[in-house]
Amino acid sequence: MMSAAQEPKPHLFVRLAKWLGLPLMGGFVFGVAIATADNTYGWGFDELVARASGQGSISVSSIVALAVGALLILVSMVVAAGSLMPGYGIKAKMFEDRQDWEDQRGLHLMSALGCFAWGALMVILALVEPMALPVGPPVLWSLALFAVILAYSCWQIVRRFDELWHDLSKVMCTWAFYGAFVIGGGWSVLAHLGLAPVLAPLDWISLLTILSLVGSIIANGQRGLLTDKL
Amino acid sequence: MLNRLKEHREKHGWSQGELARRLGVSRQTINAVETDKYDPSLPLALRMAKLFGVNVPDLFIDNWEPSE
Repeated sequence: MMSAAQEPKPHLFVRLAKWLGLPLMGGFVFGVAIATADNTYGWGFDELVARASGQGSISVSSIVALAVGALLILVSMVVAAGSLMPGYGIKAKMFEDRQDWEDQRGLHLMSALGCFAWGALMVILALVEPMALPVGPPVLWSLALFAVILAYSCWQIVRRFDELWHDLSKVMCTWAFYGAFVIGGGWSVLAHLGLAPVLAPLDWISLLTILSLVGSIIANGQRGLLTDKL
Repeated sequence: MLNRLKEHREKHGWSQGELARRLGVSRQTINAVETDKYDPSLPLALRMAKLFGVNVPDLFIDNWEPSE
């Protein structure tokens, strides 16, 4: 049997292919994704900038949804960076130590993926609603893609849950539900009485997203799991 | 709820990760219980007691007393 030291070196071409193959493929996929997204949504963003400059108006619903989507994408990037780079993850207090990073990085990576998909869904919905971005196959396929990614990441997260995480999830959902009941319900009562504008469907999506984030912070804070991180 | 989980774990020479593996939970759960941030479910408390060969009240300290 040959030891690792005695094994013949692969051919230069094979080594080059291995060295360059993955980055080239990744770059190709990323480039195609960016080009497609720009082709589909680029003018939506242009329209957004134009309206923000005073040429037309942007609904409050869209601004809130865009802000929430951008926040989710930002959070997903921070969590992903911590999950991929142990040094940064530990420094940012996402993980206690290297062992903790090894134990939890899968869960955090799936959280980052889900968070990104949710944020992307919010951004697309925000652009569709006010910008009259046509609800054609590109938009629907994008929404379907991110919905599938979100569902997959949720499934992976729940698979990794143990009783502590299930407990945190229950507390988060409880806060989100009662928050939606009080804020959304209260607003709807006022709207029914003609004392406030009616909440748009996009507002409900933004409200539920914000309340989920707030519920998550409360659930972790109640358990004292944030005190070490602040 | 105060508990003696860390004391029993260290007596057995197990790390938090090792105890978590034996109990089938995450290391975060063990850490949260030891630092009094989370009270485990009854099944988990029973499994912990069984693993250390003690009774649940020896592991978890509750100062509640029934009123007259």
